[in-house]
Amino acid sequence: MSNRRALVVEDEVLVGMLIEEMLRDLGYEIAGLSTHLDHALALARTARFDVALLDINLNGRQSFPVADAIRARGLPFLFATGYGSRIVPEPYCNAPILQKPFSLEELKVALQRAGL
Amino acid sequence: MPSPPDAETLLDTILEGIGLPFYAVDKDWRIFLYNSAAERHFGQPAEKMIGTSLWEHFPQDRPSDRSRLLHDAMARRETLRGETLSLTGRHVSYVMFPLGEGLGVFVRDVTDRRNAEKQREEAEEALRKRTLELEAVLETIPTGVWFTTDPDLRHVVGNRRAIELLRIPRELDLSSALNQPSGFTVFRDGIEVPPEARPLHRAARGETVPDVVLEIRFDNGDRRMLLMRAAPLRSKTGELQGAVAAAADVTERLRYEDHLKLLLNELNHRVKNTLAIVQSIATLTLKDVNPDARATFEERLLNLSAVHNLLTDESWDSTSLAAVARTSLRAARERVSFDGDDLRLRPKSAVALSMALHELGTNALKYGALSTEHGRISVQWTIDNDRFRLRWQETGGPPVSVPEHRGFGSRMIERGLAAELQGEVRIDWQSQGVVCTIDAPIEAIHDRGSGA
Repeated sequence: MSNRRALVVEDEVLVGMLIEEMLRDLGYEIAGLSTHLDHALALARTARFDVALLDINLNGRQSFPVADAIRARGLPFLFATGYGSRIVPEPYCNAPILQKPFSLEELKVALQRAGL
Repeated sequence: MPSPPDAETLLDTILEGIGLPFYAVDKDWRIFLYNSAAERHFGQPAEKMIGTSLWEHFPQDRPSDRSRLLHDAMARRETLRGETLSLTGRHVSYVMFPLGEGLGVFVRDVTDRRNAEKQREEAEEALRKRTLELEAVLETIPTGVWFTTDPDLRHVVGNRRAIELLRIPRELDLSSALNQPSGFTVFRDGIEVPPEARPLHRAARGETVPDVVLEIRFDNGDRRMLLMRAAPLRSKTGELQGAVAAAADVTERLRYEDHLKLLLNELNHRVKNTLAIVQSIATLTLKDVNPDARATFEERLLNLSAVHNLLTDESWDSTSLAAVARTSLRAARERVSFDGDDLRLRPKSAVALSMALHELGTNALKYGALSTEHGRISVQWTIDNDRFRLRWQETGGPPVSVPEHRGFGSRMIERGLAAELQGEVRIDWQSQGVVCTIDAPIEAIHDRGSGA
């Protein structure tokens, strides 16, 4: 069985690189790392992945359209944010939320909560 | 038919029966009639007065209105009526009329009536002045004020600001504007408030309405936030006599507070993002070089972030010691017992204490009580005589020996925490388990502003 693939949407490249490392440690392959909303939207619609990790704030724009595109494909996603959980609006409040910065253990638990 | 009394008896009877001070003088001012009311008025008996000159008793040279009037009446031979200050220094109303060649004089003491009138005038003047002052205040303060005198608000008066706040048209009276409001609707927490549930209506029914923030939505789309209070007006006997309501426009203040919240939220977001970047740099730098150092660093950083979250939740005012202790030891929570009354910590103390507890916890997991299956930790604190004392005690772990080398963790506890708390911090490497004691003045760590 091939490894599960994860899409990472994170506008801070260094943080994105750490998340990639963590996901690899948990046995994931990286389907892509996107730092911009438009690019992330394109990947969300076309890339092959099993789960996505979404930073909510992408250079001042919110990543909820990306969440919509992923949900439309029936795939799970989780949020990572430095804003606190109150920023997530009603339609997405069931998705696991990671508070930045987070540990490998916290990422593992969140992925499990997303059904993986 | 009985015969009429003689003229003298008749005159006496009339003069006494009238009950007013009366006397009569001849053309030479000699008194020839003087009734008992006059005796009381002048304080002199009739025997002493009759047949003597008026001016013997009241010297003619004394300049007074009364003496001028008497001479005037005597000279002009006509009836004079009026009020004056009498020869006795009292206020009197008088009637002077020609009687033979002399004068008849009735007086009535009106001093008490005049005093009462004067007092009433003074009281009215004071009230007028008070009212003017109050009106000036009411027209000047930036607060809308409404008064009503009945429970249905049939009669309502308000100051200029009250009319401005609700943008009530000039031609509309306040009662109609409040009972059948047009041009605006009122909301509280997003729910419409009907007229009868608004502060002045409630107070007019006897309820005291504490601070309530109402949103006024005008038909043109404008929205203003009003902070309102209202209270019933009662008579001395407690009878409901109406109500007063006051409103201040707090729109700008609330907007400013929202703005501050937004700024604080934005700042916290940046701090957390920066912590995440630091985590990435350290982790990616040390991952293959020194995995132990990487893990230790990351745990310290994540602990710092966790205590920041606690403080952020309370806008960096203060936070709870119990929450800080539980958060810092979350990795081993079920094997740590906490005992002590909670207290509010200053932010800097909260961070320092959290870092110290995290180090103690990490050490216990690696080498101490939590490295074995049954080891436990007790964290107890007391506040006594303005001293804060905390005791960390490990039990059930492997035998402890004093470490040869003091690592950064113990130095952070013994030096860093002690300096931050302005107290003493000691780690005692007892063989049955590590004991750490903190003894610090309460004012160095406790935020009294938030109570608890």
